[in-house]
Amino acid sequence: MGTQLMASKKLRQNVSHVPGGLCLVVCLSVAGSLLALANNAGGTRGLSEETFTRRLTPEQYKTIIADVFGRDIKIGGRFDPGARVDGLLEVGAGQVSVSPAGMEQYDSMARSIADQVADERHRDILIHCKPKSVREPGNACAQQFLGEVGQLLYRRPLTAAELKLQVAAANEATNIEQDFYTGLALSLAGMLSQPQFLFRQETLEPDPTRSGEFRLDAYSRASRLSFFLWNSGPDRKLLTAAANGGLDTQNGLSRQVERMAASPRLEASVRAFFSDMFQFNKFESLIKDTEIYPKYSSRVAQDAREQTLKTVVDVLLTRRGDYRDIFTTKKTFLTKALASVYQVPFSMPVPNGSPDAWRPYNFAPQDPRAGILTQVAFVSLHSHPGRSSPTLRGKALREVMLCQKVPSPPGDVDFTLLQNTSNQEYKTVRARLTAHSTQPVCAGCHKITDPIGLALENFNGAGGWQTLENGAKIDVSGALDGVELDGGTGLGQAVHDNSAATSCLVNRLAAYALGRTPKKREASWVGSLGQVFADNGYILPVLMQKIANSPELYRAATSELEDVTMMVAPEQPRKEGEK
Amino acid sequence: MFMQNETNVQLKLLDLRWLRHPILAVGAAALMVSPADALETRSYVVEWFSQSSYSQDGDCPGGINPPTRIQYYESFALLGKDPDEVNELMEIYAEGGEHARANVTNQMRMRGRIGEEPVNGFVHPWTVADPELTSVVGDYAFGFDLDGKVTENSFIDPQTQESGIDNQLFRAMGCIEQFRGTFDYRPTFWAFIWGSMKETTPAWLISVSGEDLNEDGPVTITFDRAMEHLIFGPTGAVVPDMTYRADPDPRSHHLFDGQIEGGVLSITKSGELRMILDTLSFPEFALSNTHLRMAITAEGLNGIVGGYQPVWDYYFGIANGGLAYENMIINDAAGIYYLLRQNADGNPDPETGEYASISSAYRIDAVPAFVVPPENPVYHDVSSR
Repeated sequence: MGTQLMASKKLRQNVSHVPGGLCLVVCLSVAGSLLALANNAGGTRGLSEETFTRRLTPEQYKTIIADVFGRDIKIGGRFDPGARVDGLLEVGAGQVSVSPAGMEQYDSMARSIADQVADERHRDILIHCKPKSVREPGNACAQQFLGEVGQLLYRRPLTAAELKLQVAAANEATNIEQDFYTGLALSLAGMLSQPQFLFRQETLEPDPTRSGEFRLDAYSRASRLSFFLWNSGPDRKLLTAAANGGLDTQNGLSRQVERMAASPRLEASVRAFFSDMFQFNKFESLIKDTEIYPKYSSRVAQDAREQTLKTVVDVLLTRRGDYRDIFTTKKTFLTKALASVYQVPFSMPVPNGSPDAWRPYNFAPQDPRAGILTQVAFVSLHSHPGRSSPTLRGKALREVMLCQKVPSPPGDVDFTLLQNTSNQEYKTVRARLTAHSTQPVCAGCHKITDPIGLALENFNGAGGWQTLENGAKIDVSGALDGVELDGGTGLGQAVHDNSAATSCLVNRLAAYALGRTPKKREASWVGSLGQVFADNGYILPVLMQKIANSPELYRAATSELEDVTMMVAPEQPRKEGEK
Repeated sequence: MFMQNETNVQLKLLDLRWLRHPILAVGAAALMVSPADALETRSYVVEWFSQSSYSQDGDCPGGINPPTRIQYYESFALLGKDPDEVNELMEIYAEGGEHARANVTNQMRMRGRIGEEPVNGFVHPWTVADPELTSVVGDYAFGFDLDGKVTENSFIDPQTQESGIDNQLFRAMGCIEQFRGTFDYRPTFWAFIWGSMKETTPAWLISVSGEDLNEDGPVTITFDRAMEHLIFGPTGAVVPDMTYRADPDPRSHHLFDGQIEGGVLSITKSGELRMILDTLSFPEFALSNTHLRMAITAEGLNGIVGGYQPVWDYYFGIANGGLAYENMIINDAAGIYYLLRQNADGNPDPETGEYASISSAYRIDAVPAFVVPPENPVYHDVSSR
């Protein structure tokens, strides 16, 4: 069963979980959408399931709400966890559904958001019309508001049937509650709980430039472009361009890409991509033994994650620098809590108890810290709760930064020797790993991970500095793909100089944009992206624009047609401004 | 001339004291011309502060002083009340209704007498009859030989075995349960006081500057009050290596000549130490003839600071909590007043000869920290070690 159908079935099951008397509105609209999805699933053409539907990530959900309703709309609740596929949650987003508890959370969030939008504090700003009477249904105003907001939430204009359903729901609820704004909020809540909002649904049309081939339709193209460059839904300008055929030509597409790439909102996408690529979602479940690492707190973890993102954004966007420099840069940003871990002075004149403030910071040229691999985020995320792990770090570097797969250990490995950190016969983790790796079944993998991770052994499991283990001096010599190196700075330079680092970035970014791993047929496209990236000094925004301007981003080849049914829009979306 | 020189040294140290790492200090020192300039500075923030006790079995003749629930029988008796009346009052105090109990507690509070007039015994402790609390008779106490004499009141320091130790504060308070402790066992009263003040009062900073702090030699020791309060980690312990700004108020900035010998830091030229706090108890901590002895290690400083402390500072530090403190964490406040007066041994009044201060010693533990000037510097190119 395709994910589309799976999601629909799950959601249909979950309608019964929507609590309370508001089910009239919410359930009606959600059920209507689900029926439409299910009916559409009976179509005649199909593509691989990744092409169709991807669940919004938590960040995308929050960004869209902020874009449409403003940043002072509070979003509580919890999101279902994502699934990481081929290194990215964004790819996994096409393979996840919604759990019953997750649907309840969506419903709860939707009601809370809608209540805030329609409350007395916000309604005059966010609802650009007024009913004749607040105690009676206001058909015109409901239609105007739900139509305007709906196209931003669904990333396309609502169909006549959809709008009619939402207005009817608002009117019905107004009659029950005797309050127009309550009715409107309930209808909006229903809209926010629908799969058209919660899932990015892409529809296809015949590709006019390639006979027999398919491509995303204009709104789906707008959506894919917007999520790639802004990590959010299309704005009004982009929707208008989609409606007016502005995305049907290369020039039209390029104008939009240029506009969007020049926007400060590009940073949101860069942050989202690297959060995903660097697996920063793992911070949510990261724990450290505070008896061993008394400086490590949830605040430090949060700051560490942010530090690396700030460093990346600084190199790649602020300074439009070479991507490879993120592995060697001495420039970073610190908070007071992080400065304590790095053992450097940090002064910020803020009142006692204030949230952490950030300041730029340059590590000295001779400092053993340089680049993101030596930052607290990387070394603490890829360590055990109470000790470092050259193996985990080496594995992470290969898989995350170089896109190389490291096999999982066999199920019957004896880790006792490695875990006994007070063993006086093997005082350092290097000695323990050497002894452990004498087991033939272990040796192969450790050979490709440990020489990398051992170079980071001056950084303990929480990112702090260490030179001794059990009284023995720590040796931080290592190697990466035949290159001998010393310490964290040496490793950073080796990754900087390793061609796998940039090709990995290109592959990951292409997958992030597509929402799936590039196919074999797209190898030449990905190769050309790599060449453009190299020719332009590994400047990330150049690569992003190249991807965004590529027809390949919006194309579906017939070779991918499978027996999974294709979703077709229930009716032709209305053009912008059409009544 | 002396003041000017001292000021110059202070300014230079203020610039340098955040430089905990020799490599940086060397770079900074190269900019200076005086050969006397410090090449290395290590800074610390105080994570634990308490009166230094060394309680031993048998050091209180007749046992330690009874708790207030027993002591109050004596207090009422000293007011001339007969045993039946005292018993009735104490019964009401223990189990009476709110109104009746308030009446008894008010009698306790107003147990001072000026003529026949009841007055607040906490504010006017000399108007309360002396309950004659017990004091320490043991031979050992942490501290320093402040007067250079060995007298019948002198102790032997259990750590250094030095004789002539002056710590009359320990003698005065050492037979009250909440003040008893050892070097490692913290007195209850001070655990309470430190617990209540550590999160709100400005942190205390100590900086040590010298040519090579890994070697024996002369150093300068600086005490400062921070502009921030202490920062705690997830276990409740003070986080090391945090940065604190030194308060520019000169009243809480003190400089001492000192030395490191065998890994032990000490003051070689004693002077006055005065720190303003932000707490209900001990709003001001002052010592004259200040001495210091602390082990200096990679983990921080730990040891004692001592000197003569004004009796009134100490008394009001513990008596300003009134009846609540008296019931919970001290003992008979007036009794403590008499203990302090009877054991005071410093700063005699030139006319009456009455001692205004009492020799004392306090335990300090401090963890590494960065101390920076208050004017918000931005640090670049600083090594993380």
